[in-house]
Amino acid sequence: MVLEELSDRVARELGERGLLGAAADGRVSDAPDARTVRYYTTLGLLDRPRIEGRQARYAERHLLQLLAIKALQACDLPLAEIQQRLYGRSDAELKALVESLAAEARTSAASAARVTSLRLREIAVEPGVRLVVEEGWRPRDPAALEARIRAALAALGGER
Amino acid sequence: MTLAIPMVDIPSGLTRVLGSLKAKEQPLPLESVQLRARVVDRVAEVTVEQKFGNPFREAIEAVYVFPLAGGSAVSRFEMQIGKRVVRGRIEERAEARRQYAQALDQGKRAALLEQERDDVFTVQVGNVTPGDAVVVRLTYSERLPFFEDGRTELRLPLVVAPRYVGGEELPREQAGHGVVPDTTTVPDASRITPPRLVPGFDAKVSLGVEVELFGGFSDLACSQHAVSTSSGPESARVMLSREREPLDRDFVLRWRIAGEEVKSQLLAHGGFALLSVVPPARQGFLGVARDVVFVLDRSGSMQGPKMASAGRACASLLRTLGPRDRFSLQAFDEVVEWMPGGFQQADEGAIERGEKWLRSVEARGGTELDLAMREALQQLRSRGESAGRAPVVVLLTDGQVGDESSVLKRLQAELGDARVFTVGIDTAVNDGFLRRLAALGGGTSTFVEPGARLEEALQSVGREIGTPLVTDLHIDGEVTGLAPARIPDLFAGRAAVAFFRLGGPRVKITGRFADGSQFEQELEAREAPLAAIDHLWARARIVDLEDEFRASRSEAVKKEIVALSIRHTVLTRFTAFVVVDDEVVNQGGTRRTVVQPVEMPADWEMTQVMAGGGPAVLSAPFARGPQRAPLKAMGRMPAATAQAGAGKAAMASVPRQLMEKLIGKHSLEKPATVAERERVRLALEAFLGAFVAARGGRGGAEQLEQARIDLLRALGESLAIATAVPLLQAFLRGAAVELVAAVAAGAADAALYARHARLLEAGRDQARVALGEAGAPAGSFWEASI
Repeated sequence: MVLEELSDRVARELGERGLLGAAADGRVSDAPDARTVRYYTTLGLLDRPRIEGRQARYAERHLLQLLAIKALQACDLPLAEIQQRLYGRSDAELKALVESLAAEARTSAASAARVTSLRLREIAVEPGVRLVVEEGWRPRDPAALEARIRAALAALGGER
Repeated sequence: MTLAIPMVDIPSGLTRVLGSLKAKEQPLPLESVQLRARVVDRVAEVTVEQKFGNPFREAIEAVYVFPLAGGSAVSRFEMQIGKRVVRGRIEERAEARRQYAQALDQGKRAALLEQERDDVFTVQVGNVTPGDAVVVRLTYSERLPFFEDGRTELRLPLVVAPRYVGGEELPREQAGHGVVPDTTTVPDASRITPPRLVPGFDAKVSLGVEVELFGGFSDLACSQHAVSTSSGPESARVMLSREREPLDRDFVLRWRIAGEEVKSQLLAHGGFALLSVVPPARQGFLGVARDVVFVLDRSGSMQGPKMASAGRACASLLRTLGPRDRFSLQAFDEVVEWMPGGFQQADEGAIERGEKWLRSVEARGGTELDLAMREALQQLRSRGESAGRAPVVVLLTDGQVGDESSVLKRLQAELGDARVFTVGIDTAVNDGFLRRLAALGGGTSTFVEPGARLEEALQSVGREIGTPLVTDLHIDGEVTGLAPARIPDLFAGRAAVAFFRLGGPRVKITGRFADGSQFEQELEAREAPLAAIDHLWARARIVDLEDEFRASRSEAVKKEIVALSIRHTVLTRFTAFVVVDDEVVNQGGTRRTVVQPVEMPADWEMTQVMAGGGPAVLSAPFARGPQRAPLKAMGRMPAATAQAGAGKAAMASVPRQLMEKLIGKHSLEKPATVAERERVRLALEAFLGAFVAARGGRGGAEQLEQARIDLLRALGESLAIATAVPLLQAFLRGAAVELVAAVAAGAADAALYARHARLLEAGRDQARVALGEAGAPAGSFWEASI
């Protein structure tokens, strides 16, 4: 298969196994693009594709390798640790790994749904005053925001 | 603003995976690397021991791509299983590969050692069963460079750095196990590009280095490793202080040979001799005025401290120029950029402008060194008023390219009277290539590590650039088999070395000083315990022959290299060491191949790995848009540059995309038939034949024109092939027409043919790829690497 087909297969199979977008903040991109695939190749995590004509052709092993990488990424493992776990694995081992992760994902799906992690970022504006924002927050209407902050500060200050 | 603190952060998946039995860490095959070096009489003999285990569940073949010092003569290879040692044989390369493959299929343990570049080697150890351990051991010798003040250095490289690979991917089976596909410009790219460890992955390879120095010494310093030293009266032992060092940079040991001033010497052993000539101290010597082209590598691999160091190195060399000299500055990646104004008189103002220009150079992109050298040599050739100034190129680079051969070939063809000096800057430099480049260019090479001591290390380089003290060296005496055949010119403070067979007790060396006066030295041979000297002589002779082979591709030269290699047991690219153990340990021979991933060199910025292991941002050359099909693992570039680069690339690729839309897809749907391919192949051969005949004065314009028309017709019948060979088409419709006209008019001279031959070769190579004739990897890929 060519890269686009491989990419589609990975996204589909991740979805079928409940491994899609497992990280709360969606850092696991579902469909690997050409650059990512090449990068994994330089790490030896993905076998080099066969070149036919001028196109790279991928096979089932490539699919397995990508599924395993994505499944471990969904568990928040950094790439160094992923490489450490996947390097040189046989097809059978990769398959077993992906299936066991999928099984765990299914059984823990219900409980995992309840545990949501909330990421907050905080900045000390001056001693005594801190600004806390949820990760992923983006300003929409700066003028309105400023007005609200002024009002909030006034309300907090007014208590004294 | 101050600090951002994550308030809540529960990595929910981590514990789950670590708990999973299936996701235990997987150890790698390479368990340890031990290097032991002995230095006697400025010759180092080094033993490298690599231990491979099998942490997997089935039998494996372990593959390890590793470096050795560039000028090394590998003369011994063996395999050890438990206490049993099996000695390797040297064979013609294809034969060694055959024996190795056969032993593996028979279920026997076997090992193969091949040379890919002057400094890159591959070892394969097959049928290592689970839990087994196999040790392979190789021995090489190297003649160390030294200077009149006694300075010398031993460099033990430990990692093969990523090399830039350009060109188009070859549609054939890959020659090796690396991660970059073979391409038109680097047909064995897959043999020199091992997979990389992600930073943070401890490969747990235990590294040991032990160096013994015999004879007096002082000022011992190891620039990139912490070492402990114990010394006796006449020897010293240097060892790594730490037990677990990553293999991510060269081990570099420098010292000064103690005692009286270092003089020329003639060492003999077993009929061979090693001559080191040190020029006399210069007395009021003023070199000729120079025109110096500085060529600065600004490719992605130079990113980080290296780029800053290279800029500083260039600036400090600029400062060594005198007011009679002129210079011009060039920085290159995939494109070549010149400091405006061409050659400038090296006065204070120009040097300051040069320094300012150098500070603006940032690392990015690929390493088209061939292009850069071509322009540099052109710049020197096109000087209108050279006024007797010596033409000089100074190249500052890490040398991390895969197409060394084409650069060397260009130099051989286009050097003219220019001299080329190389300054290698890296923690893990491509020293073999840079040495060879300088040797071919009649200059010198110097290696420095990025960092604070750079200027100090370059002190002596400035004065020798472009100005040899003594030239036209000649040896009188009972001397045969001189290698190199042309003794290198003498530069101030630096020894030149030659090997030969010596019949008598002494030799006389004569030469010419720059002012025309006669240089003369007489030397008595001293018997020295140099067991390696015949290997070193053979290696030096082979280097000469390789230069010849690169230019001629002659079968006779190849045969001579193979014969020398086997007679003197010295590894070359045409031969390989193979060792087979008779015990059958893996009935049936079923096995998996595992390639040992290697470290990124220290100070290289590989990639930016996003927090939490998301898709990594790719290294610079990847980000160069769709036309950059082959993979070029190199340094990262700043985001702003990356965007600009991508924009430029997108622009450049518009016509190509259009073409692919209009024709490419169509040709994919209708591939060329066998008959079409055959017709084009025959027509191409006929045209090449007609070209050669015309060039040799044996054919006329008519034959050439007929062959041209036939080939165009053959192409016209196959859209698929025709669209895949734009270079050939362009040649046939443009240059070839001009050539036919010139032949008809009797005006075709050698220069015209030479120019057209290059264009034709490019077209031919492209056509061969399109015809699927790039050749099977076995049996030939190494020839292109010479």
